[in-house]
Amino acid sequence: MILVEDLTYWYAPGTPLAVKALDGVSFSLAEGKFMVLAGGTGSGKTTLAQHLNGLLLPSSGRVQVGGRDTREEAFRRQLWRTVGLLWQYPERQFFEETVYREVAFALRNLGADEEYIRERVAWALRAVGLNPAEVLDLSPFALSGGMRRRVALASVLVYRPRVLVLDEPTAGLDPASREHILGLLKKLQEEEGHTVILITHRMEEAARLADWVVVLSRGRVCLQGTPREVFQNPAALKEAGLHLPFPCRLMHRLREEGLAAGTAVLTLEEAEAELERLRTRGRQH
Amino acid sequence: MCEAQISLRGVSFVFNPGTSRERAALRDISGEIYRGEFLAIIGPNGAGKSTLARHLNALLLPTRGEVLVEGLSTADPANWWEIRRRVGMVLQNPDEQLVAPVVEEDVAFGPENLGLAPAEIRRRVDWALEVTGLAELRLRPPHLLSGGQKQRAALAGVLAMKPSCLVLDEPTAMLDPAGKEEVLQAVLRLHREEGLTVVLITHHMEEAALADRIWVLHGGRLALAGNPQEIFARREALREMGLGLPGPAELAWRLRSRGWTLPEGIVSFEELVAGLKKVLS
Ligand SMILES: Nc1ncnc2c1ncn2[C@@H]1O[C@H](COP(=O)(O)OP(=O)(O)OP(=O)(O)O)[C@@H](O)[C@H]1O
Ligand SMILES: Nc1ncnc2c1ncn2[C@@H]1O[C@H](COP(=O)(O)OP(=O)(O)O)[C@@H](O)[C@H]1O
Ligand SMILES: [Mg+2]
Ligand SMILES: [Mg+2]
Repeated sequence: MILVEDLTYWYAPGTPLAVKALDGVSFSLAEGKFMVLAGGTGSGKTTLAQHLNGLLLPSSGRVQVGGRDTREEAFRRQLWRTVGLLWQYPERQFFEETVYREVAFALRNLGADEEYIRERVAWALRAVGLNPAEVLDLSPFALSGGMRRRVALASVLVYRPRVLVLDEPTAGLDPASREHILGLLKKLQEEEGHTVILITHRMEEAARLADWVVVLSRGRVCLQGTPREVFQNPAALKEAGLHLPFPCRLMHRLREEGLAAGTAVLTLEEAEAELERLRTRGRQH
Repeated sequence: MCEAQISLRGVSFVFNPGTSRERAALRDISGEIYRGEFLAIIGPNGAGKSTLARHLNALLLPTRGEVLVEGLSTADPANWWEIRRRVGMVLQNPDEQLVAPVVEEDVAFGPENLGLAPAEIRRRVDWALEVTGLAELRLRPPHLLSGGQKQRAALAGVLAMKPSCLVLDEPTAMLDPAGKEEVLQAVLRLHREEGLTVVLITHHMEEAALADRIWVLHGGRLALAGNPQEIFARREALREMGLGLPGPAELAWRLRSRGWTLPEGIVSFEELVAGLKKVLS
């Protein structure tokens, strides 16, 4: 579905401000999979995300979506229909006067009829945990930071692009909304076959949701694999400015303290189970 | 730690009063922020946290009630300049804050406005870039920085004003764990060593757990106030508001309800490790 091959990207090439933001990045992702793209600040995540929907084109290497190269001009112009991108700072994306018009924008562009649009907009707002009746007529700028972020996400979900690329969608959300949105994304992937690429530095999220994790460091892929594989490598993660998920970090620490804790633990539930095992074994001795 | 630096007295705030878009964002909030303390403010999206923050340095004025900063009322425009010098604010969206063509000029902007000597400005700018880890990026244009780098640039600009109280509205939302720690450590060092009052708005319960005290805002009201042990003992109340416990506190709670004998009041990673070691060895 998505193929990135030896992708290198320069901002402002040939000027004194030139920055090599991506350096030989390669990975592929099958349709219907959930990928987490992680990496420290400035590692190139946003730059990579913008290549996936054709906003940026490679300086060298290539990006293919569904077998077609993003350099093909006609394909690129249509690409937003397939690949929906949530920007890192969605506030910048707002240009309509009301939340309704903001969320309806893509469907209007697709020429959908107004009744259908109304339904879809209400669905999308509810999906991100907002009450349509309360927010439809408000200006997006009259919303709190976390609510704006949810409106921006609704405006991507509303037209159901097959591929969702979400640049830190949960930054600034309260814990309940974060859970809600992550649950929704997992559901869209598992039940409706959407391909999801989630950018985050919360390794807890990667641990719970991802089929595949790609970790960037200074524009290069420094680790990739399943969550279990990636989290067996705390040193490389640390290099990349990331932490182990809390449950996994706890187990590593207990080992250091001389307890026989298994470290292949990704979620709180798995940590509970592993600790119970240790406790029962302790009793038997 | 008992001298009030900022006092809120029955503060209410209504956006667009008298119109169809009227919205009460703060309701009758009273409380003190003490000199030299580290106060965390948590609450669900839309609870009024950013609105409250903007009241602390007179960016917004109460519809009802009063805010006093070191005895100066924010209601009097004659006090604004002095209040804003003393209470520095890092906004939720750094784009609203970065104005100059390169980072170091942006950081120098505040001190220049204070009319300081050039050598002092230089010292402050170097220091602020250093503590925020931006020394290498000093000549970059702010709009070419990545999200987290921008947030640190905004922080540097405020620190260069040497405020006595720093209000941070989700300063680490965009930062990676390493960057988060760097910024928080920088802020906390200033808090410890120079007695800087810190008000931190955050959705990360782990960050709130580091504070001396926590305020929980909900629906524009001050719903709970207390130290981290007291606040994170209220698991049900927090969950009803859409909030949660820090990871270690949550795991301790779950284990306790499975019959483990762990002490109450576990909030930090180290406290949990200590508790588990007792049970397991
Ligand atoms: N400019 C504005 N005009 C009208 N209403 C506003 C405006 N800014 C905020 N509000 C409303 O005031 C309430 C409180 O908003 P505020 O931004 O203070 O929330 P918050 O606690 O900071 O939330 P978040 O965690 O999402 O940042 C919300 O209902 C919001 O919609
Ligand atoms: N528009 C731009 N022009 C020049 N350099 C940029 C631009 N956007 C980002 N960069 C630089 O490219 C690198 C990668 O940035 P970015 O993709 O935003 O990282 P991330 O999303 O992982 O934080 C950083 O060094 C950043 O400063
Ligand atoms: Mg980014
Ligand atoms: Mg806010």
